[in-house]
Amino acid sequence: MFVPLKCQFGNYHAGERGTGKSTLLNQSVMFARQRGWLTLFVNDGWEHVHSGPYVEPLEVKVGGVKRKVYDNPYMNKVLLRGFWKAHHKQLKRMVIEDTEALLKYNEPIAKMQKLLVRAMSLPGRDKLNFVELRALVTDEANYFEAYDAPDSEVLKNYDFLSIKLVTLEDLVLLGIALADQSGKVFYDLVNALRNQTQYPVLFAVDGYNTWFASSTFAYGTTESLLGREILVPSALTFITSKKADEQKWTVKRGLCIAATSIKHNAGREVRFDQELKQSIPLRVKVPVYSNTEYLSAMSRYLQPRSTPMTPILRWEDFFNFRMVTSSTPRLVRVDNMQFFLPKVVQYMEKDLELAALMSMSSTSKSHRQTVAADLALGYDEEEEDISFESFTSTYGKVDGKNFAPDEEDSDAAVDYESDGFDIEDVEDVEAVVEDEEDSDD
Amino acid sequence: MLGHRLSRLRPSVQRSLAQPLTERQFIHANLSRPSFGNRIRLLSTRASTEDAHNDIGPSKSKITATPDAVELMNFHKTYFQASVAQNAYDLRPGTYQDVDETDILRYFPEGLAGETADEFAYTSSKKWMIRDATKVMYRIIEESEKRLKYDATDVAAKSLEKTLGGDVPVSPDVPISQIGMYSAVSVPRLSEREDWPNTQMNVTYYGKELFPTTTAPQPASVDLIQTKGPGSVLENFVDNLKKEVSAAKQDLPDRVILTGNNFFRVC
Repeated sequence: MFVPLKCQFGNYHAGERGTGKSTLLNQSVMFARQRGWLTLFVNDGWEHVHSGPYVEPLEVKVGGVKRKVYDNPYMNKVLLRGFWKAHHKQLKRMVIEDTEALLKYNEPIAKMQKLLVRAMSLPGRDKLNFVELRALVTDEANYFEAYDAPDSEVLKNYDFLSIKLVTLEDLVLLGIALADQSGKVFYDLVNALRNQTQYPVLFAVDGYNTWFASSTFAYGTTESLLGREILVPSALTFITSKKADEQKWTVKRGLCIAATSIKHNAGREVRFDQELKQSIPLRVKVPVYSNTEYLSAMSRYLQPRSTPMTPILRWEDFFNFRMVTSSTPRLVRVDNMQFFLPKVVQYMEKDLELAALMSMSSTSKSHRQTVAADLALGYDEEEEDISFESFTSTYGKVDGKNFAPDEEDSDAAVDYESDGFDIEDVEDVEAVVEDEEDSDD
Repeated sequence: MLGHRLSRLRPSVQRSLAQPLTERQFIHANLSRPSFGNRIRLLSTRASTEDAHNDIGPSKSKITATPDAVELMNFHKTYFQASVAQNAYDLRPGTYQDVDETDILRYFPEGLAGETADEFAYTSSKKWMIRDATKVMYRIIEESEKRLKYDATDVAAKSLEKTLGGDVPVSPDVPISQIGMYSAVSVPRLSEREDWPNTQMNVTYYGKELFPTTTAPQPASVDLIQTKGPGSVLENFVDNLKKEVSAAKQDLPDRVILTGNNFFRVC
């Protein structure tokens, strides 16, 4: 009887995660950008409804109708920065047609210019660039250094005092420069892209389904805001469960591609396959690896200087592993270590045991033999006696995860040593082992 | 032996070690330590294919690549690798195509979606697989260009020249060494076996199936024929799409959703 191995870890969604949707989206984005498409690429939709320091209500106009959304300014800026970096040369050539929409920026621009002029009037500040001056004039409560830091690359030569909003590049840079205007800028940018005819435009979003679930944010109540109420998702809702909604969201010269993701819990239950006939024009179901693709992937992972995958693989393992991973691309990569490593260790242990048995006559000799074998493998006994400090200093940094024990752990370590037993002294350990063995005899 | 060594560590360290590591943490943590690094290197395939039969570890303990592993390893070089310059449509499904480092920086300033970056890090090289689905998406973009009356030929050619430094022709002839790209791949017990149903491409237009599904066994040798030229599966898909669109009196669709296939809950 087939018993799913992962039942013990709770619900396990198979067949959907890790089939290669995001890779396919990346390939589409690169293909389009190489061919001169303007591409507004949201590489992680989940981030836009679960990251950022705060949200605040904002009124925007959609098709002449006022609508309340929740602005997530610093996440808007992330998107605007990426878009500028990829397309600033094209944006420079795109003149803003809806000049009336720009009037709302006059006041905040003037206000900022006034602050900058005042700051620059002090001696020694005339050589500061815009980002440095902005840090000085921004209210401390609204200044998020980590979020603003990447602006330096984009705004290093930005002259805010002589700003003129003529091209789409000017608009995007304004959104990056003034966080509190970034929401309005983003809406105006999306509207401009939807209506322009100069370049083909691609709107590409990964993790699109997460926008239809609850976000991390709440405003005024304890109830979470829906992802779609946050600014970026609200501006890019081009596929919904209703066909009528989609006909409202038009793009004159372009294409929209959304990819679902079940990497995060949010949005896992959001299904786009229920209302296909009503809503989704084109759905591409990305399959798991075919026979040939699986063969190719496994061959690739076995390449020299590629992965730590085993060279002792046999065809039986190859077929078994396909069953274990269901031929799912992500699992073929992620699980190959845990599937093959024990086999290699087993293989190595047999080899080492044989070497040890050949010259073994006593426990201590056996130990010496093991150490010699270790040294032959480059396994240095002294180096391997890990101290607490060296362990935490090495492992504390792995993937940003803190492996350092808390205070309670540190105390436990001190208590352990205060028993008079120095665990780092190999000779002591050996003596204890031998004493115990003698007493057993 | 490992258990013996672990038991000598302080309890707090033992507890830290007991925490499950992610795949990346495991590799990073071990490779960053010289002594463990040697062991991991011993387990890895850090030898060239030519000398894979030779010893790859230190002299006293040897792990030799099995003939099966060497055979599998060679499939990549013979059948499944392609350069940036090659046209994706000409590649056998499952072929890994190089992705230029500068292209990643230029075209993905926002970062890559999903776990593509993890894949690059894991294999220490930048290649991605050109699948049937990739070709379908490329084709959808090209069909959109036709709909929008946009000619991307010049831009695309320039972009490729830039990537290649302008030294390599845009559509080079296939070198003799890669002739395997166009010959049959055969692996006993795999190639002649029917593909699982959830490995087949599936594209729908308002719920209507466009990609002809087949239950017949699909030997790997016919992959290339399937996606190339008139009458191929890819062309049939485009024809079917146009037929449906015209019947519905609509334009070619301007929005696409990518989802997984065969969603089910195991338990």
